[in-house]
Amino acid sequence: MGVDEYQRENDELVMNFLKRTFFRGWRENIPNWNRIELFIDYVCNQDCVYCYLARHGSELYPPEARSDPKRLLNNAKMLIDWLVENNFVPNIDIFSGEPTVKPVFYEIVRYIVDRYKDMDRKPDVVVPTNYTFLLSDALTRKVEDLLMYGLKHGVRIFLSASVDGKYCEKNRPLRARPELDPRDDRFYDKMFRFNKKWGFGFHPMIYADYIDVWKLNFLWFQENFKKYGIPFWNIYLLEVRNPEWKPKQLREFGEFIKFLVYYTYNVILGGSKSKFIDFLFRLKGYNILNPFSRVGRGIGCSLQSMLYVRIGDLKIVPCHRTSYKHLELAEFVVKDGRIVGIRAINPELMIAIFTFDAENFPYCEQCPIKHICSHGCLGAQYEFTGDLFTPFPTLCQLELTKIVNLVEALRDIGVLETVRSIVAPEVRSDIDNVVRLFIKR
Amino acid sequence: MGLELIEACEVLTSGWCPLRCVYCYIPKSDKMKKLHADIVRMLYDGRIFLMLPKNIRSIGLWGTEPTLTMKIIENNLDKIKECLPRLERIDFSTNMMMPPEIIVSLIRKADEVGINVSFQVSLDGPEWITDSNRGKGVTRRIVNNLRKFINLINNVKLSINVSMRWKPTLAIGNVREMNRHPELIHEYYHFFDKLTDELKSMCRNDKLEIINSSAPTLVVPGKYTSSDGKELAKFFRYLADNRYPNAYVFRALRVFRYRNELYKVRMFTCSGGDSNIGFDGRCIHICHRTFYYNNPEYVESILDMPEYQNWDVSHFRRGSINNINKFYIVDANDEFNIARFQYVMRGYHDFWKLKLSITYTLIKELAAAGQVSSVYLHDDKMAEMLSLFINTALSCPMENLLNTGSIHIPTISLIRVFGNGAFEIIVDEVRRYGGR
Repeated sequence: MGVDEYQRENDELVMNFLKRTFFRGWRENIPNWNRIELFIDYVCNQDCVYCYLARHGSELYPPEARSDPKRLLNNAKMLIDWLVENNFVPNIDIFSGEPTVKPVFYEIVRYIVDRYKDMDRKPDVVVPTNYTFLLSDALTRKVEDLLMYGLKHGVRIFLSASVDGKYCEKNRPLRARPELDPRDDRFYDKMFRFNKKWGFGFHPMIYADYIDVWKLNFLWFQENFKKYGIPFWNIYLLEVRNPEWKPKQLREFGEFIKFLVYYTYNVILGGSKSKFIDFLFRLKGYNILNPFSRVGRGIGCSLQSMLYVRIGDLKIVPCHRTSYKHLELAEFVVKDGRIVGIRAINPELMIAIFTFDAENFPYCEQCPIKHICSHGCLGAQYEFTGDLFTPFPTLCQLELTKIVNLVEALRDIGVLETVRSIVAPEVRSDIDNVVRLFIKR
Repeated sequence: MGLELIEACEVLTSGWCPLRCVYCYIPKSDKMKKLHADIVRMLYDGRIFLMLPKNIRSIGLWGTEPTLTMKIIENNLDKIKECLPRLERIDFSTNMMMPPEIIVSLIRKADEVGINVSFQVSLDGPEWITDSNRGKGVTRRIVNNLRKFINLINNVKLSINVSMRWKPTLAIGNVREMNRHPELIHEYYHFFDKLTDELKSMCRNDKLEIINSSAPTLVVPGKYTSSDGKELAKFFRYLADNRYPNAYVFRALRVFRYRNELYKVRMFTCSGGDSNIGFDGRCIHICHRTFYYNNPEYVESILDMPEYQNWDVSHFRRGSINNINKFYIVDANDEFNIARFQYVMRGYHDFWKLKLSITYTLIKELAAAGQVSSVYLHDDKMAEMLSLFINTALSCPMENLLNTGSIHIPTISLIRVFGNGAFEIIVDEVRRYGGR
């Protein structure tokens, strides 16, 4: 009995949970449990002002665990072997401080392709990158070779551009010699051409600093989308849910939300209500304009649909923004160079993380817009409050600003009733709360 | 301090203890004596009492063993009463190993300034249990000191109220032992009944109340397995069949009796970080549980020791100490972080849904894995009630934080130990006592 038995039961509990969730999802491609993230590194060639890796990287990823590329590659290989041996075919995210400048990234992705190329079903590989590889012709060739290699063997590799845009890129300075930033119009031309060629999207972050120029920035994106033949909706906008938003910035943000609605409706869609509804629900409304669709999980982000593995030490963590030592969930057990099991570290937190509903968070529990709020990022909440599940007041202000301005704009263009008629009852009730409580008639 | 709503404060008053009880939550190292000396210096200085929230009505003397520094508290009582005009009570837990004159002397002084005194004696039961948990010869010494205490207090004329009760704690090993030899259970309760009767018959001071709180509590949260849970159920069944008092039945009864007031969450959660805080002279804590954690020398000394020398230092290894120091031990002069701390703790004490829903899920998962009774798989109401029980009768945001990284998530150890029959017996007992 005692501690050994305690550990054995914890391991069994975790395995039982994973078998019914991720393991099944990876075998049967069940959407809510079908992803895995290989968290490779936290070091980046950019020093973005809002980035948690820039602020807390060494707490989130033990520096000794990332220092040896051979170890990273070996661990990644062991993990991929384990997936393949168990007939697991999850979609795979590769997350790192900029991956494309690290040789180990290419080796890992090639290994994924090699191991899955002969299987009937193959994973998609998704890689967020800041696109600085475009500054080097050699690196660009290397990235394209990798993409081609995947295509050749039926493994689709998707890059997603973490680029905030010409007018907001000042939030994302290069780490070395930022005063000599070579990202000029030529660079951006390359970026749009590259994404047009490969069909990749953009996911700029909307941050408090430079929020006043986001309208201009958005128009710049649209101008280039038009120039390169990229669909106008191919941009995923996400507000940085950090605590530093000031009242003036919140007002600017609210105005920007309204601008997005009016511009899209009037200019892009020519005042067509049906096209706008289609844009909102089928084309996802740039992400930021559609808080109305339910995701079937407890939170909108990928936290509950992805198993996050820190490759340096093969620890399972809640996500890449919450991988602090005391929040580690479990670890892969390695014997003779192979993964032979999973050892529970914090089974309580693991089950809580994968099953909570953000509507039950303290304070959110009684909020009139809890069904349409994007809710906080657990990492940002932890950084500010010391608790993963406690939203902080400026986050609530940010989200309320977004929702109120959005609902008001939808009412102004005459589609609010249609939206109300489409959405789930609890969402409709929240929309009505917004109108009654926050919008003057 | 900006803590006007705080009504009680647990003050750090000691850092060393002559005993090494097997289940003590404070890991011990040879740095404890230095730690203790630093605390003594701080208490002599007396400024600590000036820093306490002005509205408090109760002070708890915490740390290791409060009688070690009780004389200093006594010497400061005038000052304490002066700066805390609403103070009504001092309470503490003692191992009763020091001469009882110390406690009597404090009571005399408390009487002078008009503050009631309440204390509990850490006595786990007869020799075979107390000596085994706390050290050889401890039981005899405690009992002798209790007799001496009564003789001394008989000669003190009091206008304040003094209460004394037992605080028995059982390790799961004790439970197993009693299950193997049920006559020991009778012996256990008989020991407390006899001792209480003897002391009551000796006592001539009508201001002293001796409370026979013999119902044991379990070491929590522990690292319990489903097998431990079955042992606890067996033990509870025996208590129920023989009408012995069970502390957890009383706790559950309270929840059932006041169920119409469940919307007042804080009425049912532990007071730590709500109406009560810990204070170490410089920083506030959720409660006494994290005293010493902000002393790097002490933490290092524990980390340097072989793990087996202390009961449980696993949270020291998991980075929890850094997390607690960063967010849950707050400088008493740092207004921003005190506001943040209170905001986060209000999330625990004013809202139900997150903790109840997470606990419910944990119960269901444990049932699916066969680690708690299958009743929780099929009977959702029972699962809901167990979740409520865990978050009320066993509410402890501090242990949650230490073990799971969040004040809102309880340990599966607690669910296992109560979810293998024990809670079902509690529910039956609550019905017997008239709850529905």
